[in-house]
Amino acid sequence: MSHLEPFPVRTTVNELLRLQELELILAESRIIHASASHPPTAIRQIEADIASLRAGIPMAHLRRYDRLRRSGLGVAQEEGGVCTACHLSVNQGDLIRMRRGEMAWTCPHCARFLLLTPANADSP
Amino acid sequence: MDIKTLLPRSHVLLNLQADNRRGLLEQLALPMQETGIVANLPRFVDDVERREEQITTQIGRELAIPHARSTVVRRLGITIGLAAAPGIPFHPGAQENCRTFFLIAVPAFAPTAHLTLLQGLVHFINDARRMEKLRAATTPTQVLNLLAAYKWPA
Repeated sequence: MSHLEPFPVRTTVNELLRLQELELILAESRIIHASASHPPTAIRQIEADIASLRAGIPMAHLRRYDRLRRSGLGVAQEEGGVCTACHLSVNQGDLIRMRRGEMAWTCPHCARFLLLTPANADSP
Repeated sequence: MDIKTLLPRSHVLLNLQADNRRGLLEQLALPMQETGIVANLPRFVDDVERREEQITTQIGRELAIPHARSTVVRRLGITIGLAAAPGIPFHPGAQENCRTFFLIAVPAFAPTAHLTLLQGLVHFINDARRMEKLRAATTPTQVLNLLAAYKWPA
């Protein structure tokens, strides 16, 4: 089995989730404030935050994330052992391996980056 | 896009009254809870409040389009609310109150599902005559007819 090196685990996936959220907010804000004569300055702050976040994420993970985002979500959260993007259960063994840092934090079904809930993410 | 499917009559609220944004959002979210779109109203309103903290959805002309992606949203939904003058305070830093609200619930698993709806809404509200008629509506049916008469993007 091949993995990205280093594994995308909590820190990277958290950053990718934050990045995804900001990108979505930016897309929404560009639509709803498009006709405003004075768009909120917060839009420029979001653009700066996105640039800053992207600069801190390893390039290999960022490329993969961008590919996934072209068709919607790049990152999803795990809830109750289920990927909230594809709604399929993630094998408990895989969750344990992810928790131990032995496996990339990605959904085995839809390949999106997967942020584990704290209960499943705590290291033993 | 079939706006009538997204917007049943019960999702049009007239004569809204609220002392603050939280109370307003709860009123707007309630019809979506009753139609099964929102599974947990307080959590959804929390998510809308968090989204507002990032950047306001108050866009001037006494209008706001609050929305949020949330894991407690089961499918895309919208509620329209109209308030009489002087309106309801929405964004703390805004100079004016709001009188027209479009609350959109977006499922977390389909985070871009609402972008086409947003584009259509912005186009709709940019027409001053249409908005004048919307604000003058006295029944949900009048609101629905106005929105249904508009050519929504596919």
